[in-house]
Amino acid sequence: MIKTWAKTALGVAVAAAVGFGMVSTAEAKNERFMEMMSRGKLVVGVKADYKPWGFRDPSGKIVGMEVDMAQDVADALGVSLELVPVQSSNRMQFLQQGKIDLMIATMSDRSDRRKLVGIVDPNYYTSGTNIMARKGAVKSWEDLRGKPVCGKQGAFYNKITAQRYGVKIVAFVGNAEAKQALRDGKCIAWVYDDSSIGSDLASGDWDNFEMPLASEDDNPWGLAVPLEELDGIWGHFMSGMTYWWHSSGRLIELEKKWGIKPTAYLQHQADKFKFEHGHLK
Amino acid sequence: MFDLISGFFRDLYETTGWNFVIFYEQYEWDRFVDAIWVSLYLIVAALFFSVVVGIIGAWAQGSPIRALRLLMAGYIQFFRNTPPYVQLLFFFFVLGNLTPKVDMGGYYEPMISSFGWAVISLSFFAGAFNVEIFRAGIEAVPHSTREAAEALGYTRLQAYIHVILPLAFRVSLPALNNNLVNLVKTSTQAFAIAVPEMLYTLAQVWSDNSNVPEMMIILFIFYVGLVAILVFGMHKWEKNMRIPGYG
Amino acid sequence: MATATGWTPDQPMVSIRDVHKSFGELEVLKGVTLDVMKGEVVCIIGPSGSGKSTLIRCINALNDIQKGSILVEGQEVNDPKLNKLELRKKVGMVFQQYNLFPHKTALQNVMMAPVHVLGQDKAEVEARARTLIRKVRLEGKEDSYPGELSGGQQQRVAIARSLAMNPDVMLFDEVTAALDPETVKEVLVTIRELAEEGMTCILVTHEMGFAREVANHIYFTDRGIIVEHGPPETFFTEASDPRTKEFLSQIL
Ligand SMILES: Nc1ncnc2c1ncn2[C@@H]1O[C@H](COP(=O)(O)OP(=O)(O)O)[C@@H](O)[C@H]1O
Ligand SMILES: [Mg+2]
Repeated sequence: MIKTWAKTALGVAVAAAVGFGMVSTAEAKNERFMEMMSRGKLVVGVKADYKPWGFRDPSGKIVGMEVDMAQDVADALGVSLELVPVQSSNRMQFLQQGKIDLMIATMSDRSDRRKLVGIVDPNYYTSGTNIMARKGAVKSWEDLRGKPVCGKQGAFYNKITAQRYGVKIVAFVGNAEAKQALRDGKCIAWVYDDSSIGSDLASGDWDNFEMPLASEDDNPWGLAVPLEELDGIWGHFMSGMTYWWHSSGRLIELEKKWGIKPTAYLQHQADKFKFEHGHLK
Repeated sequence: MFDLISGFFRDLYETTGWNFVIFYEQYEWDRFVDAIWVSLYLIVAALFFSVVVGIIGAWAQGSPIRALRLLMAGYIQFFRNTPPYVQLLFFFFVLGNLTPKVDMGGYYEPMISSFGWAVISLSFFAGAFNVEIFRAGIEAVPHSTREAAEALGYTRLQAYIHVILPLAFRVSLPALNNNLVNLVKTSTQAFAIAVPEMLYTLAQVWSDNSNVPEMMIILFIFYVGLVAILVFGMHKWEKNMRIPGYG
Repeated sequence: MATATGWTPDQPMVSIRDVHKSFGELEVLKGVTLDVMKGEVVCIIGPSGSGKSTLIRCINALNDIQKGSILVEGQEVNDPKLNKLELRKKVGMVFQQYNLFPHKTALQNVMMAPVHVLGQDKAEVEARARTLIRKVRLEGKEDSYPGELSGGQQQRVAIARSLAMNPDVMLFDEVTAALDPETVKEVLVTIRELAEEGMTCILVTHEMGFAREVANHIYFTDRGIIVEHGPPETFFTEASDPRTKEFLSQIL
């Protein structure tokens, strides 16, 4: 299925690129893509410590939802796949320095980041504000009113939950300290990004804890190609790829496979792009 | 107060882009005012208890009981030679879990709050230096003065309270002054254990509002002001304690 | 009037028997024996370093002793379970360097110990302290700090401070040695008045004229022993030991 789609998509992307005069006028726009195709190997930067997005299985192999997505891309292009583990602090540099061709590494889409790397539209996922709490301790956001809730200092979740639900934010310098404080019972919950909480819950270290609430707010995630190639074949191809992931229900399927709490965003995107998908077929 | 200044600062933001959000948005203003009080309580309490620790510690250091002297030496080494930041984390996360707490359903109300731990930790930190400062002051009191008290029937403790300490205190004041100024500055590290003092609060404000330079200015003004008040007070005290015809 | 220890005023108020005292290897007192009766004034004279200060400091337990016995109104000083407060209520001491508390006024210096140590009523102590300050002729200096007083004035405050504890015996250790010659006299006058009122006094002094005048008995010490002693009338004229003669010839 991927193959058939890919041929069409790649054709459209190349045609679009050529048609808009991209290939001829700016060699740099496709340099990496061409080089990658000739080498026959796609190098993708993924997380290796963020279960279930990108993590190491017991054999040491990097697996996860974003790894499956990377494999989809390689399959579509008909090249082999190499994974490079990246950190939040170096993932953009890796892309800029050419160490990776593509980055799918749980990165939030922010305007300042768009100036550094080529974040592809549409977004492939959104995370939201949620909490982790002891099983059974919290049933609704309102349960938190007036109670101490641990957060990370400077995090955007703190102010909104304080203002919306009147929680008493107890913010720590790092995630580790804040989560330790939750474990010690110094607060009733830890408010943060739902994907991060999901990752912690999946790690097996938080057996007596849960993420009991419906996430609030949308914090879109972006995968990225080198900034110069966003308008080239590579950027357009990944854009098409993302449409396909949404419309085909592939992301929802992967979400299920990796035990990620279903997000309304993916369902909504799948419905929205359904027509276009049918059209492309 | 807020109503008085909020107009000006909102204008300032709209015309120049200088975003002193704490002076024109009620939510941020409330946070800021709370932070002033938390910082002041924290500092005053830590100042007070650090001096108490110093006084008791210096007395224990001169004790005839060897175990007590060893304990004091260990205490001073530990607190002088480790970062106060680590001490705060240790008190809060390690000792904090060993103290009694009340189950509130899903979380515990600890007997000692993070504020309490910050006061304890900072008092012991600055107290370790105060012990040394007071000890130097005590050593400066002539042995003969001590003997005169002894000959009048004073016990060691009575002589310490009524004769030695008042004299040692005067000698110690300049060094104490320095250490207490340091304590005011170190108090900001309580942000590590989520005490909503000034640095903690303004850091959250500037994360939420992207106005780092403006909030930094407020931070500097706040601490410069606090230190100035402390130094002024200490000098005044020093002057009041000056003994006519002595030293 | 017998005390808890069974002492009666017809027995020596201070009874020193074969006292030995060493500082490490250095033996400073080598068997000193001496009695002081109630109301007696005893002067101890002798060359510097002969152990005079050490001896009188042993009487109020500022120094401990290795051997022998010191009884003050029947209370044994050479006792590990000694009640120091009891002893020091009975024995007042005045030092060569006055050792006033510099952060307190003259009046406060006099009042401190009775209030802090004996827990006496402040107002009552103050009245007594003012009387004592008048007695040592320092009226008007009540509110002066020690640093604002001359040596002689400070020493008189120190005497008043000791007297405020109502001691039965007073120890004076070369209390005029650090004073300017002009002020020596005012201090000696104060001590003489005390002696005349019947206060039991043990004085270490180099003021031979004064010793001759006020003392009931004079002891001459050298290298840790009492070489000879006697009443002043005979001591100064009939001293027999060559060490005493030499000392007296130098000092008189
Ligand atoms: N605390 C002390 N430690 C060691 N030696 C001392 C001490 N006090 C006095 N001495 C020594 O004891 C001897 C007698 O001293 P002291 O009683 O002060 O003599 P005096 O008062 O007759 O001049 C001196 O040799 C002196 O150095
Ligand atoms: Mg002497």
